[in-house]
Amino acid sequence: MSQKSDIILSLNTETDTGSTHPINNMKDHIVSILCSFGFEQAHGPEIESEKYNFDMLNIRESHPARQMHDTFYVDEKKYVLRTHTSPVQIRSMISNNPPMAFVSGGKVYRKDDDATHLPMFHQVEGIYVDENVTFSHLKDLIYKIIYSLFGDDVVLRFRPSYFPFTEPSAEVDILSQDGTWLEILGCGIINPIVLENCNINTENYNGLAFGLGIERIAMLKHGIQDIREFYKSNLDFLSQFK
Amino acid sequence: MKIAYKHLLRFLKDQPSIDDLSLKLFQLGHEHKIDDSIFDIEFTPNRGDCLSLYGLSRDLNIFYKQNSDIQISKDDISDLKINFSNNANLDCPKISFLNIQIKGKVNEYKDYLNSYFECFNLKKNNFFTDISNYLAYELGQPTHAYDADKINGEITLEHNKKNEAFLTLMGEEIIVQESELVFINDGEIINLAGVMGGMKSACDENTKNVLIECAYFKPESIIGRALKYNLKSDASYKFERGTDPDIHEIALRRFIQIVKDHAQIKSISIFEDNSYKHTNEIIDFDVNKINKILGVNLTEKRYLEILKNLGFVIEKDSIEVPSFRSDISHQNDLSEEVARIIGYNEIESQEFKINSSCKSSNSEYGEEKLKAHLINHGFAEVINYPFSEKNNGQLKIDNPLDSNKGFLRVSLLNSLIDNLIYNENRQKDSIKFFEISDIFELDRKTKDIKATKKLAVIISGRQGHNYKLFSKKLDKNYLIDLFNEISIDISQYITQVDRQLLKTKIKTPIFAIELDLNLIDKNINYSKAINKKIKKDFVKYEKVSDFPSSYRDLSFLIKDPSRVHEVTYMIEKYKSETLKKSFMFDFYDNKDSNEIKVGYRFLFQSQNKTLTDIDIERELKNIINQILTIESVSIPGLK
Repeated sequence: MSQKSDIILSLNTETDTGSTHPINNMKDHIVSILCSFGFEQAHGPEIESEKYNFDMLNIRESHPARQMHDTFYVDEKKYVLRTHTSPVQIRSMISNNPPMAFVSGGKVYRKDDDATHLPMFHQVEGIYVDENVTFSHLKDLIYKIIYSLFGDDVVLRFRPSYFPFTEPSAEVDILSQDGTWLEILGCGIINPIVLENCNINTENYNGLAFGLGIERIAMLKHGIQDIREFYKSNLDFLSQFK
Repeated sequence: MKIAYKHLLRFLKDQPSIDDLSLKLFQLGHEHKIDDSIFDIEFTPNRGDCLSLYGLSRDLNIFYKQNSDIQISKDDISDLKINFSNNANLDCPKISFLNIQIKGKVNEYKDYLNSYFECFNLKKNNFFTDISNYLAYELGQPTHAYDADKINGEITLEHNKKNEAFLTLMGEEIIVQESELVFINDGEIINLAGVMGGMKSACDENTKNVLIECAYFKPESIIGRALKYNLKSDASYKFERGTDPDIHEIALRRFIQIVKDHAQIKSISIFEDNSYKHTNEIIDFDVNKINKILGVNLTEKRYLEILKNLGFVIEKDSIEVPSFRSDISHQNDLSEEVARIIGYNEIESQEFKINSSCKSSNSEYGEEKLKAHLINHGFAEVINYPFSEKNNGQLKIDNPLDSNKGFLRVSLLNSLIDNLIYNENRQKDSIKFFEISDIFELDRKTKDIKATKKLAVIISGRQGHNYKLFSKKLDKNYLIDLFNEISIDISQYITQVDRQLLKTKIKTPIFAIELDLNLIDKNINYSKAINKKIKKDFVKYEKVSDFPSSYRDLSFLIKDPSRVHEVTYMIEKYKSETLKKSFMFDFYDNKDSNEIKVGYRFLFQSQNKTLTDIDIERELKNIINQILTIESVSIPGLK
């Protein structure tokens, strides 16, 4: 009899574990890597003024990103749905004094909706402002981030790119197993115009910045082909990330 | 932009292989693909100066020496008497009109011209338009060719005063809106300035008298206009990214030369309207500053060499930025030029270490604990778009993706209801979702936007997929108990969702809560909540099937209770392409007969098709055959 009650007791009656959304898990993972390097987490609003989302970041009126077809405008153009997490960095730089190192992650919005672009996606961005920050420091940081995410044996390359808020600007690719290069992140030395906009003395200080698209990293890490899967809320999808 | 390898070689003194050239283009920041010896290059928006053979070869000069020896006409050009009024010289501070008259036949296109059309499989239009298109490819300066015999009287450049129909030279009729920058002749629009000319004044195969417009438009005056009218325009693409205001004379003399290469010229005359006050940017020559930005040890000699090769003029302690590089204005811009030439990958990294003592943030501590608690109880976290169709005074999106997504949601619940119905339609019978997100409202007093962090939870169906929970329904008490575990009373927030308002035939009740996270955050008993874990083992995702699933239930009678584990073990280990899931939903301990009866549910689904009864029965038979090999196990009623 006791043998039978042991059998009953040992049968699985636990509730199935639920799941953190894979995007939030990836965001937390990347933020925790950066916090382990000494970055402090910062938060900011998803609805922003054009001033913080564009002007302070040296994105001029004529920049394509500011056109109605790229950005969601809210309440008679008084606000925008932030198009990147960069305005959080602006707010952090305004309200703190160097040296400072901030990381922020969250939702961003672009007026786009097709097989490879979503109207809402997620970014993690970081800045570091101090004396004597150089492009060669930025490279070391990027190596550390990418090695933490993809392992020490990953091959990566830096390419010149263009962002109004960094100069020099770079995009970083990793070499995939099939021999193609995959774009992973954007980074650069903070444009002194941006630092000046935040009342930081560019004679004494400079900074570096970087940003990653979380969906892209999550797709690579989990082998997900279609970005739209993240937001269908399909239990067959979500339950795979227990 | 597409650039043919063989065309680019004409502008380089050295003759690199296509692979070498490709590597250098990447090094310089010109990302591209190569197809059939044609580079398809994605130039960054600040590098309008590279959008031509001439411009790109100039950027490659330090590696392969640019061949800048362009054959241009040196003929004297008389003044053109043209009735032109520039009423928009803030948008277009520099413009020329060149009149060329030819006589006789146009000869066959020379190789350099013909190759442009053949290489890219382009349709030839007419002699002058063909030259105009080629010239933009070669030198980067857009020009527009009017048939001069179709122009009568005054031409004005102005912002039009009313909406007006315009037939483009591509044959598309558009309504040009008021205030657009246009060229007007004889009371009609003849050109959507900087974007596309019109059919009425377009050249054709009979044109012998051509008027070439060569303008500098400010990028901000052109940006977005082709897209607005859904026009594909190489000219506007170039003007948007900035053209060189100093290249007009070379471009027009090159135009004349190409005409001369193919036809006999009767006369040439030119008119210029120039109010452009441009002084090239001057930046201090300071190699130490460049070294400080990049973290390198560049010598002054090498710095000088790099700048000169990129077209910068160095005088004593200053650097003059050439007119084609409107993107360069400070030391950081110059440091990027240096880094591109050295190669980003060649710059050695130096150890990065944060000097500041950074505080760790715990503002999300309670939220993280709450999430962990819900996930531990089987809830799946969802993320939904913030767009909503309902207008209950919410914030309005000025330019929504579509009309039923025109507002920002102030409640998460409707999104969760949609998620629930979506999954019920996919045969899910136990649904537990939660979402944490900010919602946004306009504070009527301060007129500022107020963000509130909300938690919403929705449940419906069975409590779980095991024999103890299978027959229990997710209900109000389940939610109360769930939150009681962390000392939160949420009973006042529970609502039952009215099924009648939903497009579903399922009757299972739906319960939900939605509340301001700050209201409960302070009251969560952290000691009872588990810690959240960030998962670092990134599972390989299996594609979700688009085909419906089906289930079958089987009941096993086990006469010898000690064999129960063999049954459960065998079922757990059973693998097939179509068996998605199995679980014990019933367990009966018959104390009188000392037998055990277990009920199992098997869920079948294919990645490739809707499974038929035959498919499922075949798979089920395999399962049964294996289970029945266990001694003392039978399936009552099995034939």
